[in-house]
Amino acid sequence: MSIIKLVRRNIMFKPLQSLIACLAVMASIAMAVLVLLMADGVHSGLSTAAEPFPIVAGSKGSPNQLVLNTVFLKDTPMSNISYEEVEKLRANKNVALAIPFGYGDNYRGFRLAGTEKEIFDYEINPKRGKWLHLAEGRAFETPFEAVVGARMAQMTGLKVGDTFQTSHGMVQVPGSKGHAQSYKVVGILQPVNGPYDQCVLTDIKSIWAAHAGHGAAAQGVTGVLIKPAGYAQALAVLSQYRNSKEMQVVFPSQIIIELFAVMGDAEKLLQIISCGVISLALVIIACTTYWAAAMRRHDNAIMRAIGAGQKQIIKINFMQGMLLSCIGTLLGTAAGHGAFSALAYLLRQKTAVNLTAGFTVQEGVMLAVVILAATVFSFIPAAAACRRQAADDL
Amino acid sequence: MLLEVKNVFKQVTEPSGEVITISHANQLTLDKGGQLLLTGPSGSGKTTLLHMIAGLLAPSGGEIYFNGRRIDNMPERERDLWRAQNIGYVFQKLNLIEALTAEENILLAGYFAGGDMAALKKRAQNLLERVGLAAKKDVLPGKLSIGEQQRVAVVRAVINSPVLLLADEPTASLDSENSRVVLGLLRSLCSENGTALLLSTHDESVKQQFGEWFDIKCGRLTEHEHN
Repeated sequence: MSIIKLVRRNIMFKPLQSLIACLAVMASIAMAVLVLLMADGVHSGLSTAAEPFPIVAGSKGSPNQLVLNTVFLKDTPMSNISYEEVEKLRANKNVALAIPFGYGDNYRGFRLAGTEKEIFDYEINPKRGKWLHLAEGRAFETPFEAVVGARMAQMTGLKVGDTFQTSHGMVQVPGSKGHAQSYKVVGILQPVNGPYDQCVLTDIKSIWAAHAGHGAAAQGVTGVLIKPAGYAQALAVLSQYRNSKEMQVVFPSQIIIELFAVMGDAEKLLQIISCGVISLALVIIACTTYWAAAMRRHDNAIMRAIGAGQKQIIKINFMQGMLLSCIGTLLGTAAGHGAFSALAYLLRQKTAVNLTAGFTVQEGVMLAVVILAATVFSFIPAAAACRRQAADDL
Repeated sequence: MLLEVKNVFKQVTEPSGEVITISHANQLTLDKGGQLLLTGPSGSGKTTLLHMIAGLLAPSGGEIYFNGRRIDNMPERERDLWRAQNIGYVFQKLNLIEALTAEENILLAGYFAGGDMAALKKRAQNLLERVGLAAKKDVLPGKLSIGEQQRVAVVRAVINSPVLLLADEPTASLDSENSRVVLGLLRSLCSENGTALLLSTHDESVKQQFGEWFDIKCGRLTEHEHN
């Protein structure tokens, strides 16, 4: 016989009651964890997706649309700019690298991104190294050779050596007219944890050739990925194009920040919801431990009568409250992460934006607060149990 | 003298504000190894008096001495230890811990008294054999009959060989046969261990088995001689 054995027996004796107590804590903690992870994950997921694109250039219009086109492979492509603009950018001393992108077709709903083979040598920064790595095969060398994103290869089953035909437009429309030219898969990319996992990279000349006869715009590019020579040079590029009537140059990360600023109220609301959910979790833990302690009053009185000391009663009640709270908290944390992973998976399927959130500082603080509260909430009824006259509960 | 109760009473305040006395014992004494019956109708204050003697309820006034030492004003922690080492208690209701088996309920009392668990286990087995429940030592209280539960409660009360055993209406919920068995057990186990027994009852048949008793009437303890 020991206190641990007694606590274990008490918990197991009323499994439904213990389960309800655990589930109540678990559900509230899971909700709080999910809200925190979503708040963190959306921000970091979008930022990670934008990381390979320090500057993007495109035709004059909505900067948001340009970022959606080039970074997230979403929305209707903007009107093209002339390829000459890419050459001008390459000649610009402030620009270290300029890589064009042209969009316009899809294969089974996956976007075709026409670009140039320099993209395979593009280094995001010295720390991150190259953006794209080949898992299989090689980079495209000639038009109508294609390199398939990791996720797309997985979802479509395309392998090196396969051929496929694209359809016109950004989305797959049943019965839509396909292009006559076939693309040959020459490489498969390693995952980049972003939208480019779900696209086909090909020589931009393929896009031009496929759209030959569609006018001058068909020879243009939708966007240009610009790697500036340095921080000051990045600002210089921005300044140079500020008054351009044909082109715009944007920092995608700034657009995302602005997007979050616009969504400030929503974020504030999310924070209020987080606080509310955490408060609810604390109330539920308080109620659960109080309820569990109230259910033990009679047993406490029996134990006092047969010789248990105050310290032993406190220890038994405290351990029981803490054990249920900690199990609920651990399960809740796991469930919160599980739910976040499931949501992130669904979002990745839909947008290829990889919501990444590990164990965040806020989550750590929240769990510390919850455990601290559970300690207090378990101790209060435990101590109160000793203040009661045992005879009142016999 | 083992136990001496001097003008001990318990008062409570009614919701109306009226203060009423729910138990009052002018003078009650019990010698070491002695056996005394406490009688009186329901609500006369027997349970309250036993709770006060066991230190489970603070008296509103009076003095309680145990082996010459005053115990009613003992600090809580000291009283817990005193109770664990000296008192055995059999309740009116079947107060076994439902989550523990018969044997574990018995050993729990030994654990709180700080006894050697191996020796306690052996003693518990012997006592369970004695009360005919050796085969049911691993059974939860809910699966035992009321008579069996009360026998487990008796064993639990004597497991630490207490100096004083307080039994509060131990036969109240038993049929006559079980009542006879449990009462016999209590008296014989106490006699064998030299444990004093203070047993409360309102059962006339129990009174016949004791040579003398104290009758609480009108909230006061009075002594009678049995004819």
